[in-house]
Amino acid sequence: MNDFENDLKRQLAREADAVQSVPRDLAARIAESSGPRPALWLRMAPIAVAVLFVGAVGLAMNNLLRTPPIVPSPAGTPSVLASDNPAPSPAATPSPVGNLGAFACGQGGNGGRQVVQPSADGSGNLTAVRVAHQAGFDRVTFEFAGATLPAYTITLQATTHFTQDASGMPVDLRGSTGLKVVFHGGSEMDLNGKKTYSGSNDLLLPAPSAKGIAEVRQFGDFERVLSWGMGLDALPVCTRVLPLASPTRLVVDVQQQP
Amino acid sequence: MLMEPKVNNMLDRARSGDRDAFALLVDRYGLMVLRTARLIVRDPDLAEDVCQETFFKGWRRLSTLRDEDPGAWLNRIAANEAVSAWRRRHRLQALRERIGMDPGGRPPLTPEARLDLGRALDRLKVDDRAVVVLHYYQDLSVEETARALGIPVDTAKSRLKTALKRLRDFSGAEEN
Repeated sequence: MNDFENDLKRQLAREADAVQSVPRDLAARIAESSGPRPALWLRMAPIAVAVLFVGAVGLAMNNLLRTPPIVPSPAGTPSVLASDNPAPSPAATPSPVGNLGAFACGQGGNGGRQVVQPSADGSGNLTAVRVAHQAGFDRVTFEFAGATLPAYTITLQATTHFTQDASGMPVDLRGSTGLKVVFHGGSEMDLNGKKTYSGSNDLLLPAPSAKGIAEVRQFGDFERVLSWGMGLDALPVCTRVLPLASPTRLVVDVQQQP
Repeated sequence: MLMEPKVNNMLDRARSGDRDAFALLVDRYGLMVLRTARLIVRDPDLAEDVCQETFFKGWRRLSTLRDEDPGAWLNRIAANEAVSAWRRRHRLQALRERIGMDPGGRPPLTPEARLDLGRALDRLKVDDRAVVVLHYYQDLSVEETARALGIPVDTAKSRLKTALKRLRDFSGAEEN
């Protein structure tokens, strides 16, 4: 040890010696804080709580991974699409899936429709359309810019035959039955004429092992009335409609049939 | 480690929840803990808080103390608690030190502004000061210092070397 280190040792010893005793109030505080030692089960409680917490988080994460991330819209509640005059069918009983609401089933036919007016504003610009196979159902998601979903009409029909808006040209989609989705006040362009949706207007689904949605196609964007159609393989047609927020979406699920 | 029968007896009684026995431990080791804390945090009030917290933790963890000397055990708790308490009190400075914005305070002083060793110690990084206190005041070896602070031996050596250089720079001591 050199001179400097010896100086350092002396300095530290001097400083330590300057503290002559434990102040009485500190000793009292220590005595106060060392209350009766908790029972063993109480000392183990934080560990038990931590284990439970980790378990709960793991369970929640597992559920999250299994369930598509959706946020129910405050503007509307999950709803089901049902035919006005559904034909009697063994499959016509609503079948619950998770906590998203039940599917309502029908054989298809003219007049099966549901109108929902989720916002007073009633306008929105489409930004994305997504189609995906999920376990037990096919899902189409229409995503809009902004916080409001335009009013929409969904109509179940017996064929896949649609008519192009404005021109009146016939459009036939794949599948055996059709579902028409019309957004009133919706468009793929904003009020300045700028395109907000740049994706495909004709989405073909790869042939799934089970029957659901075969094709999704836009057939009208005129005077802020946006129309899309779906060609379906599934019969009976069991659907579930979910208006969602953050981002603003309309989700249409079609239950797959064997 | 062999302990005095008296200390062993105090520990046994304290472990069974005897607060009077624990008060005897505080009497015996309190000043040592308070001094260690004071040397590291350099603040009388904060040192008292560290002392209180050290005994509180010691009381709670008494069942984990087996063969170790209770004084060394309490000192180890005190040193770590002192570093943590200093960081909590000086969050901004601790952050600057951690991201390398404040490597040991300030540049070496001019001869006119040389500090005495006490003030030079004030200006060390708290991690370096803890190593200095355990090694030069508690007379722990570098290995024991590293173990007490839960750091690798090489880190303890490096901190010690850095601390000595800075203390020399701050105080104007010549290299031997």
